[in-house]
Amino acid sequence: MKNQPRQAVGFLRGRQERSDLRYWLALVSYDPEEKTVSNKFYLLYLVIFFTIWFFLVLVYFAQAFLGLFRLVEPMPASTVSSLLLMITFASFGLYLIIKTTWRSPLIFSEEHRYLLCQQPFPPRTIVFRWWQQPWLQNLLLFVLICLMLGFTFGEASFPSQEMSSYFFLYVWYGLRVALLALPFHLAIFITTWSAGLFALEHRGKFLAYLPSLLLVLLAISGLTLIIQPSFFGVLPTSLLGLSSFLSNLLLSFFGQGSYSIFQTFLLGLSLVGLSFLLLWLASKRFSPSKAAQETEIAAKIAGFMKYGQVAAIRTMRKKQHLGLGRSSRFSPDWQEDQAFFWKGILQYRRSFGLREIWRLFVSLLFVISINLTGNNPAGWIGLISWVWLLNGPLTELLGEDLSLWQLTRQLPIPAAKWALASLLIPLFPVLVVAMVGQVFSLAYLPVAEWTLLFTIPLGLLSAALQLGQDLVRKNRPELLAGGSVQSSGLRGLVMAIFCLLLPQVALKIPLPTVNWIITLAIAVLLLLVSYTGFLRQIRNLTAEAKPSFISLFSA
Amino acid sequence: MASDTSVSHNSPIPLALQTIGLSKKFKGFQALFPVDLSIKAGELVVLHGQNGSGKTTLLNCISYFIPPTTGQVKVCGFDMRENEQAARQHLAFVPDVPRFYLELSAWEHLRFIAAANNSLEGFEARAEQLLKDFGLWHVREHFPHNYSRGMRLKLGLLLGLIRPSSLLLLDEPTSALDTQGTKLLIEELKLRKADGAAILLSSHDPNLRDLIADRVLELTEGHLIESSPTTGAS
Repeated sequence: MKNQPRQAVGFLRGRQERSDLRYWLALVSYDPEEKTVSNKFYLLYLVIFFTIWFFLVLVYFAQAFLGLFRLVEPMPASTVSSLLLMITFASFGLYLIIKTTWRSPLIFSEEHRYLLCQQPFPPRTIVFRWWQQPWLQNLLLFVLICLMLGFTFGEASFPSQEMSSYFFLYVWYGLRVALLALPFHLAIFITTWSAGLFALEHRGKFLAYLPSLLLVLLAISGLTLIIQPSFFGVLPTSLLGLSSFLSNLLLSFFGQGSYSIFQTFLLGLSLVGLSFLLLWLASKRFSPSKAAQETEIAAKIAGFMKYGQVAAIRTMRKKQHLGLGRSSRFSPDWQEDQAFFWKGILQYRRSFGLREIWRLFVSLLFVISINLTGNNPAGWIGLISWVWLLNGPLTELLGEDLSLWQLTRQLPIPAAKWALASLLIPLFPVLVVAMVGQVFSLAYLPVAEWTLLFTIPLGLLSAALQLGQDLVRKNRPELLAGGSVQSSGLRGLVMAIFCLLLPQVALKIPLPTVNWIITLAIAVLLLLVSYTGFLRQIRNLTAEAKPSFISLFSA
Repeated sequence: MASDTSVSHNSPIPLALQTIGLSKKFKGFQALFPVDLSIKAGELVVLHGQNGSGKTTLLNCISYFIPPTTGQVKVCGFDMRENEQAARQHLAFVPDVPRFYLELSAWEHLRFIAAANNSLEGFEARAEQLLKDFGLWHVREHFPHNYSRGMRLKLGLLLGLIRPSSLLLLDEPTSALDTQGTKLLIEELKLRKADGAAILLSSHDPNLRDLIADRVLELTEGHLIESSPTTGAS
């Protein structure tokens, strides 16, 4: 009778874990329900295949990482390795602290909200049955990094010509780091969960964040104690003992410290014990319904992410960012098609956040770096990446207008006009930033290309029109009337890249002074082609009469 | 209630809505067989039919959200294909599931629709009255995605009512409205009718049919059948 709540919670959680596992296995076409011999052989094949595949990938990364070791020579490889391990521990720790403090570490789906949160289960039973899956998910990347660090140390320790004779030792170097790091990772994970539960219980008070703050300080101090003596060699004498203990411990992961494997592992296990004690204390007053309230959106996002529903995630995040409501003092008397500019500016302003700032910043860097690399394949790759980055954001407003087909279409404004307005509004800031980058490059970089001053704005306009026309092409009025919008596809992206790239390639024509005229002509021609193509797709979608070129710009 | 709602016309308007042989076929499936329909100014017609009979398709084809396979639509004498923008100035549509911009509040939605229809003059008083009548005034600065289903439907109705129109198309307007909301809608439609607007609405609500319909049209598997006129409209 006493175990009944534990069994019920275990049953619920187990069902979710099995369903999640089945999802990942389905990705590699393995069905755990199938009890045939061939299926067992297939599982064996999968295990062997992925072990070899991961091993080869990690070895490749380890060899690439060796370059970093060479950079900091004459620092010994063991010191660099231990330093990198400390950075890994600290990064994972900081990430987990932020994640668990911001909202409840236990994420409950809607199903749990009804089945679990309303039942009088002891809180500790839930907490102690919930940490395993998130820990394993977090552990996966951590173990891979540890294996890679071990292999890198192996690469640095053995002569490259005789590597095959050291194969088993090489593998052991990787496994040793991963194995020893395991209890330490678990201790960090459980401690951050304890801090998260404490924060959940005292949400709204300063006290709630004290343990997390303490853990952040601990992680930073640990990093400082390792980095400071390695690079600058200066440390107060009172901290020398602590620093030497820490670096000795980290070196032990690579078989270089003064602690044996057994001692290091035991120390890790002691920390695990201590962290579970903290979790036991922190979970006493854990409120599942409070956690469910906080994690409702996180659970939904995780569900959408699993099935690649990026648009749904974007909408949900946008709703979260917008909150309940807003009022704006920006109410100009813009009527008819100008109303779309007012609406578009409001939409852009309210969606403006860190992601947009980042995108604009990257656009600025792209333009400067294209000037630095010059008109060559490296610069062209930069251009391709830039268009890739802008692909979604440039057509976001137009996509939203299309999704509201029954609202936008009934307005007495030609669809081509509002579609153009919705394309230009998100393009404008990118254009401004790109021009700032170009002017800056021309003023300060001796290698800057002045032709980019014309080809970038023309190319960006053409690219936006190509992306827009592909978005319109992929949609049908029958589906739009039901609110279903398809996003732009590969064709639009390829054409957008083509529009930015072709004028640059034309500059390579070995005819000085004539080549820039050809470049300019190509850029203008591409703009005209993109523009007429965009109008044609709008006409196909709306079955509207053909608008004249001039009528689109008249008030 | 909203005051002046009709569009001023320089020339006499023969019919608010006229469809000639309007039909729609979706990839081999005939959703709507050729429909000839006329609605006069100041007339309220209720479209009735079972689920899937083609009511929404007919309304979508009339408003050209979905281009019809065959036929012609004239709104206040303006052909939807030849003179679409002029026809759209007279036409307002209220969908059964209204959708809204994520980033715009209810008030901004109303303002956007009014501005796009070139009717910002007197907007504030008109919007305030409508929002107060339908009980949305206190949440006017909220984003519609935070509204309940009924509130969203009310806002959808207001987007159709905020602008002047000679022909109002409504798709299941009472499907998620409470009793008070339905009552308000009936009052509003009566006012529009008195102002000379023609109204075509699809509904399963017997109240709407019995109380305000001048005519009831029956749609069965894409075929339009004229039912006998009702007495409720007087």
